[in-house]
Amino acid sequence: MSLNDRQTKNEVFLKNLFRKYYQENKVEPPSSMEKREFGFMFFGAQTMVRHLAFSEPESLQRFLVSRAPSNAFHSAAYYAKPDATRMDEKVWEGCDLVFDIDADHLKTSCKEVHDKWICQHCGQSGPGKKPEKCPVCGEQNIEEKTWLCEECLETAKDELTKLIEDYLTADFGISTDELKVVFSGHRGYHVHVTSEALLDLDQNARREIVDYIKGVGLEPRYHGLVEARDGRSKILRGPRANEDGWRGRLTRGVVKTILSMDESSIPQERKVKNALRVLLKDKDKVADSLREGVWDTVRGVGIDVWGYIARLAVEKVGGRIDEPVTADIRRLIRLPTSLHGKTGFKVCPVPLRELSSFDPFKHALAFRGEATIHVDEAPKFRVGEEEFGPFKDEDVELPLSAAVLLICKGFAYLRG
Amino acid sequence: MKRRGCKIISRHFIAKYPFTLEAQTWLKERKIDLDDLVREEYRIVLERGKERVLSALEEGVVSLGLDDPEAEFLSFPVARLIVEVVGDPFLRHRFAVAEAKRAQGLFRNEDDDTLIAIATQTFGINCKFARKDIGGRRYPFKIHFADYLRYASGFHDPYWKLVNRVLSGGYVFLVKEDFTRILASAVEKKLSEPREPPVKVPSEVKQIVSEIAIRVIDKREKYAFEKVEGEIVEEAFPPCIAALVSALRRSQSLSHNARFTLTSFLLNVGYPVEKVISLFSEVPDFKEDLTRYQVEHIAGMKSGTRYTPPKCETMRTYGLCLSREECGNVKHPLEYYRKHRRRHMKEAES
Repeated sequence: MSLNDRQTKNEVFLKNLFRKYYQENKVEPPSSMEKREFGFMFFGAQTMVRHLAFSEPESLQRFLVSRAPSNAFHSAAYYAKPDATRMDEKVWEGCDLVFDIDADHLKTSCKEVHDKWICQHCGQSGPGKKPEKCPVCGEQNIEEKTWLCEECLETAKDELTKLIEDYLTADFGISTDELKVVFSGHRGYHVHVTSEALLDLDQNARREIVDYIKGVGLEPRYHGLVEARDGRSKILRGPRANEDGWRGRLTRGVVKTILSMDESSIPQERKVKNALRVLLKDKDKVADSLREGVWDTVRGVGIDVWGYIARLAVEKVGGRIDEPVTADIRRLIRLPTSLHGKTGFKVCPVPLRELSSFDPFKHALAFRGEATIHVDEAPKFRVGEEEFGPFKDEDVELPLSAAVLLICKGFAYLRG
Repeated sequence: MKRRGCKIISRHFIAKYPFTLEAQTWLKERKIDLDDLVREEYRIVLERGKERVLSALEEGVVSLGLDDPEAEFLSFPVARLIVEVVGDPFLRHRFAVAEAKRAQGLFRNEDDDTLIAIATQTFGINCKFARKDIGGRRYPFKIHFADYLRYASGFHDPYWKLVNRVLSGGYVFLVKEDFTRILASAVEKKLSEPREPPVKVPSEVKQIVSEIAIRVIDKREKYAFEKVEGEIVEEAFPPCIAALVSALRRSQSLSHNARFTLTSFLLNVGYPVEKVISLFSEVPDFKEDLTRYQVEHIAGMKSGTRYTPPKCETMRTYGLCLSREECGNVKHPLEYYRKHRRRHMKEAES
């Protein structure tokens, strides 16, 4: 079977399965669906079809069944004319506040193990995230083969919990019934906030929210970390660990940073090296007084050194969200309860109280049954309670969801 | 005089704050219209209205005239009328900024209850008393972050960045001075919105309008002249700007601050809007309509305010400053450009 035939066969197989899913499962349309723009991708095509609108759930469902798209999206924004093809004709009326946490943007050690890139020009390949250009031939046409594993998804979930608990509810005061958490169907989670009071925020305002969560542009002096003069001597002042907002978070972050440091991880920068060495000798004691807002316990550790540690701390405790998804007020986001074309998983809404027990490899599965496929290569993975692989160039019979995952990922093709 | 809730709305109040809801209601109830205002007995009102607009245009401020509360109050709608009939965005903006400054001066000496009342009733701002001590400082107010961002996300100083404020439970805690600045920004925003001018304008007003229209043109030219005129010399760009240009040419995306800096710099040295847009078209996430909107905004085509790039100090906080030796004591990227351009032109001549 030629590569082309294989691909066509895969696509027909997936398309039929996706169609069957949409025949049997009603999707949950977004709020005010008639004001949303919809966009889709299809099997065998690279481009996205945009600027579609549906006035009621039935017409959307009919579209999904008849066209069986590989990916489905809707605008976070509301428009007077969502199907107008030019942005200025759509008439923007507001936009949900959306957050995206994706393992692609998180540091995980597993990516070096299960992700790889292949230069489409010279065939060179390597592990991890794809380089900007091929180190051998310099071409930029590089394909990525990514995988999703327990570590990716756990890291993403930890970040999600931090985003919701530390930022959205504690600082931004968003109540838990105003936010909807959705598993993206691949390596991350989306949070949709539909509070009326936030819909009209413009891009600058949203970027400020992103900067707040990531700690971008934070200056410790505005949170009370300052060197003040007391008569002839200088004294250091700083916030306590239990204070509101970034004040307390900064202190907690600095404590965390110090406690996680040891002789071997001291940065080599001359200015801070010696001061840090002194500071780390007594780090537990230092941490205790920092929590109480006492910052000048160690002689020789001045505002410069604390400023340096504060920067590391912000990096550590800041949220890791994907900026454009939140800041761009015209962006499309995956339609919850649709299927993800890279995995065949369900873009799965997760009630907050079930978040800790939510298991994408179990709860986002969309298909029942089995299929026999030929796997070129696949790492070890789990679906449901069962583990599979690793596989190399072999025929295997797998649960349908596992088979679909490997085919969607381009690791396997249909047998027979 | 009228009672509203427990608060007495005095003439003095509406003279101080003629943009408030209370003032508008009072005006409606008095049933004063345009034709009345040009009658002899209101001459002083017309004069004061003209003065408000003129000093906003020329000096960027509006003085206080609280000795005659009625004239002070009635002259405000007259001034707005003049601004609307002139219909020039530059004038509207200068007027809005100057009236906002006037208001902020008064807010500073106002009691906290009145400030909260104005914020909530006139501007619909979600704010409350906080009465909280943070880091040894008193924070009397708190404002919902969405309203904070609506009014403060345009302030360029890093002090105002949300990440540098105390935010808890959805509210940003504010000291009094900051709260008055937010309120002033709300005044400015309200007065910056264009309104339909009336169809019939009394001839007395028309005369003032044409007088002011001429002054607007003068003033505008003066402003435009501050741009660096003449041939653009790319070799004279400061290192920070040159780095941004070359990043763009390598199709790298730039941060918001970097885009703002580069755009305002290029416009100020004489790049036409179209050329700036085409430069950005190299970037992978280029969206023409959005870029056009932003570039035209920075060029002042929307509001009349033309933005200049941030000074070196601000560039440092943005992390955009490369602090090179050749910069010397320069405090502003445009200053660097002017200096080096002159040097470059001289060398070219000799």
